[in-house]
Amino acid sequence: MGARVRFMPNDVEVEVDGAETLEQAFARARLSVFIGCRGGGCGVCRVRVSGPVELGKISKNRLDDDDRRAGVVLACKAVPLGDVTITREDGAPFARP
Amino acid sequence: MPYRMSRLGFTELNVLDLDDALDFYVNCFGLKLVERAGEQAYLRTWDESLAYSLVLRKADSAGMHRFAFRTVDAEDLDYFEHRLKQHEVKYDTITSEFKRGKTLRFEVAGSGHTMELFWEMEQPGNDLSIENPDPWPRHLKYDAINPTKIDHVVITSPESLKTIRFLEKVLEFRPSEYVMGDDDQPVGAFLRQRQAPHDMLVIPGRARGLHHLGFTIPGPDEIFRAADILSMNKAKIDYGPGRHGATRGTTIYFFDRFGNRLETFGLSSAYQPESDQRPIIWTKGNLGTAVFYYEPRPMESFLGVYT
Repeated sequence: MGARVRFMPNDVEVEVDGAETLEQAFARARLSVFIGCRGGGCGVCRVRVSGPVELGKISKNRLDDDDRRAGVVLACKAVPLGDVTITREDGAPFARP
Repeated sequence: MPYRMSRLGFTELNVLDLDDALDFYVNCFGLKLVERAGEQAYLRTWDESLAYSLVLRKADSAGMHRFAFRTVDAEDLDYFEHRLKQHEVKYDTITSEFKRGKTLRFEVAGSGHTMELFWEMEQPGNDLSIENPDPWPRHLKYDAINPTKIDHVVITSPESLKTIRFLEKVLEFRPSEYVMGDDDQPVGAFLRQRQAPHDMLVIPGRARGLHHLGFTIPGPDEIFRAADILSMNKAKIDYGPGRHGATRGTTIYFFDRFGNRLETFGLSSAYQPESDQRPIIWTKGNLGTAVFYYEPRPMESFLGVYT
């Protein structure tokens, strides 16, 4: 099942299929997110999500319980389970590659 | 001063899923599984003569659990035990662990890593015959990287100078190369225990951080072959094939499935230092060239991405 991923405040929206990660959504949207290890271990691709996501296998020390409650995920591993909105933690727009 | 440690003996890495990790480390990287025991697995390279050189441990976060150096002789373990006492470093003595004898375990100053020293380990020999051996074993997995040996470990430290001085003064590591900071003091160091450019590096970063774990590979051709295999397996390549300014070794950096950075390092292209050689200096602002000689990069990504 597909999902719509909306990037704010850029106001860009793309569709992803059921298995695609947020990293792939960024690529479709032609917006930039810095991906480090792509293994959920380094934690540099943190973004804030509102909406349902599967976090994937990620290191607990890179995303603690407070982060998880605040909707922070790692873009390299998180898979949208429905329509979601993505923002940077500092609220700034995402850059173009 | 004689060399009293022979090399990095083994490292224990944390992984989030042991089955997934073993699939990567055995089928893509090309290590041999020695034994799986509960939530740990013991592995070695084909040219490893000791019982194992990598331990994988299931954990909730990736990174490094511990690393261990092997002394040259049994007496050298006593020598370092004396030095730990002399420098008032607290340590535990482990009488025996998996296929291994007496071990000294302590914390690295400034960085908090768990480090061990040992000498005795079962030595089944490498995968070649002891008599009239071939140059490489015939049974290696064709589509795996098959590194020859574990080579070096790179740790991060919030007090990198303190960590460097601890390793030099207490454990007699010799500096091959220094990376200088603002006040003309090293912030990073390539340290050795043998006539190779490095056994261990210290760079600035979080406490207990693993920047990468390096394995040797015969030569530059094998680095390209490794790149092919990593791409075939959709592994994330971080940098390379390339060459370091520091050490002059050829390299490819990549990540395991949980973000631990690995390197296959072309040791044959690197230099062999004299035992008392003066350390090479990388002046402030030149770390990019030291690490990525062909295309110096901003160092934020190199220094910011690790487990």
